[in-house]
Amino acid sequence: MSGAGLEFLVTQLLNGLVYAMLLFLISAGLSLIFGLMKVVNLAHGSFYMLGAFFGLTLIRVTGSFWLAAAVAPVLAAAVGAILEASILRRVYRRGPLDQVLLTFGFTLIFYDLVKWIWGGDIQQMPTPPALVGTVAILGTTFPAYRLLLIVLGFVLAALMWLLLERTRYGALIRAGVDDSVTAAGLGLNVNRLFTAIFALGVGIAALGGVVAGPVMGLSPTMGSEILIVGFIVVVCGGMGSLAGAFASSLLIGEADTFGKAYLPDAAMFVIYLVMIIVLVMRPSGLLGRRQNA
Amino acid sequence: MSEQRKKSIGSAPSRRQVLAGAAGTGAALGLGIFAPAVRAQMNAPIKIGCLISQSGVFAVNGANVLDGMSLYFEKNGWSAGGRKIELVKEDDEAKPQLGLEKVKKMIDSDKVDILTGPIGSNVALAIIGFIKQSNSILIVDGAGVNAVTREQKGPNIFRCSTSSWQSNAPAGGWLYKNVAKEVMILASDYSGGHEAMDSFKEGFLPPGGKIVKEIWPPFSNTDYSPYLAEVKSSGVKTLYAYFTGSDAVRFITQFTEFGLHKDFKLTGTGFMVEDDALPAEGDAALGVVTGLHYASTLDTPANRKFVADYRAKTGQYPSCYSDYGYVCATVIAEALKATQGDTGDKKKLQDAIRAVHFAAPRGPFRFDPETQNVIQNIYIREVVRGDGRLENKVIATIPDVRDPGKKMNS
Repeated sequence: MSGAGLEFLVTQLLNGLVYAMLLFLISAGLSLIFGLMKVVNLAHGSFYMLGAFFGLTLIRVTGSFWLAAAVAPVLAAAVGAILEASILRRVYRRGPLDQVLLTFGFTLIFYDLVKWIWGGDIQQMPTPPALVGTVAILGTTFPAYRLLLIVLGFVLAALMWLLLERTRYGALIRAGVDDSVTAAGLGLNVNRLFTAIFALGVGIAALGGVVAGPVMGLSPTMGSEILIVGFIVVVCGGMGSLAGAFASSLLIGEADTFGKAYLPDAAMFVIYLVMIIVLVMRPSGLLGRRQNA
Repeated sequence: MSEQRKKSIGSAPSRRQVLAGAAGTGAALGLGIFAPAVRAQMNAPIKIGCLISQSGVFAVNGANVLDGMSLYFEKNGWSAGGRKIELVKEDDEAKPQLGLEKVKKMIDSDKVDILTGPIGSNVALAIIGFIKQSNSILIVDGAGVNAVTREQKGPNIFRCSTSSWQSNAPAGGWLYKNVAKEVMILASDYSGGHEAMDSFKEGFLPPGGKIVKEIWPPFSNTDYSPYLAEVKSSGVKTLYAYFTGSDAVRFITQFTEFGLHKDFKLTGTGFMVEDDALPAEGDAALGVVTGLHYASTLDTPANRKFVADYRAKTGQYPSCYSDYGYVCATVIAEALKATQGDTGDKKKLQDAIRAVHFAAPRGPFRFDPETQNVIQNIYIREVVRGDGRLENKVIATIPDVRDPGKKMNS
């Protein structure tokens, strides 16, 4: 392969990783929330958007991207926790139709709220000054900020894995995912656990929104745009599996990028094709356990 | 919006008295031959239907059109040709089916006298059949799809904005002469993008220009990195691009983020860097060269006044969409002045609209009697850092550009 061809390949590989990490940030929470509460949360994309806009305002007020990236997810998580404890909790026992209807209603409310407060046009979040420009890596040049996104994604994935697999909280969460009724019977405060996990998932999605800001810009439709692909990732990875969400993010992120590069006419179709193939071969997703439904 | 309504309600009584007086004078002058019904119609306000996106991809553009239109009527006391002006605004959300429903509603139940809009070419194509059938007057103040004033043209259809051909073909010829003989094309993969590129080729290919590569990212795309990697590995030094709305902002910022602005010259359709997108694009847009029929920096009396009034009203610089709304309002008001407020005789009103010509913010404005599309200047602009903001500096003017009314070279 020629040098230019290899450079092209490496660049696309990195592009795929960037997209994969953003997908992971949205799908991690989506997958956990579904795994634990069996709720199809259509409002998840709204929290991604909310995080981004909270971040935008924080940057404008404080001038610091890093402060915004730290505080905005906490604010969004607080909104998520209040919503879960006050309204969403009431539909856990009802069918998926009620849940979808309710969370879809939330997306409309958040869409209008954001449009009302921040306006309907696309807004650009400034790249942190230290990371403006490109750096040389693996024989190509790549935007420094995008490299940070890749690192951030891997670090967060590792942290979440540690939380779930190596801590007491993680054990509680896994117990809740496996069988929430029995877990409650054994003295686990399921309500508090649900709220905590919902807030965690929302916070990670909101962080995704903030860090995506400098790359993709902010608009009231950003949540619904990424949510659809987020669902594809969750379904391919296996509902409720964090490792599945990570593996699936990588697969979908790279498939989408290489599809756009090598099969431009079928670009929109490639990720759906991947999803179909995965689901035919593994109906419960890459790393999903069979659901007892 | 509510503010305007309040204003027009607040000032209504005095205007009604004036109108009553005008009607009385008219009767005294021997217009008493009019049937009473006609006289009643002459007293009623003129309803202008605005089928304009207020949400969806074109939300910002739609807001600009409406601001431009209201600005004109505000400055002229919300009346024209002796009659009160009333706007009926409907949001098509850039959806063709919804647009058609709203048009039917405005024509059948609101009984609007003149219809304006839409922004989306998809909506324009969806409603045009019904418009022709219903014989209502439509003044397009947004959609650029060529067909509206070509295959689909009709005596009741006007366009005061621009055709896709006008905003791309002249720039193609100019670029060949002044910038590059070889370009790579990048455009959103939807009908608007394809038509823009076909039009560009009609200006760029005949003198000998060569298109080395074409890249078509999907419409409403978020991440352009896979396509930018292709640009980087292509070896062509000049790009001609067409992106609109949020696509434009994302494309331009990512283009610069990948450092491509250092090695490649970015040119394209002016919509990509209009004043509604420039603040979001920021310095990433510096140096981009585009063609369009408007620039807020145009140094003419009409534009200086327009920019000052628009800024006083909205706090923002006008975009080409603001000029669309303002120009459309001017066309309507001038035509009504000519018919003395009569909208009953459609033929007479259409003749009056066709004859309207004036110094618009964008430059000399008149309709092409053949196609009823606008004849106007096209400006080649470059994004520069101006007086406390980024702006499009005019570097060349192509005067009196007329849409050919059909596809060329075929």
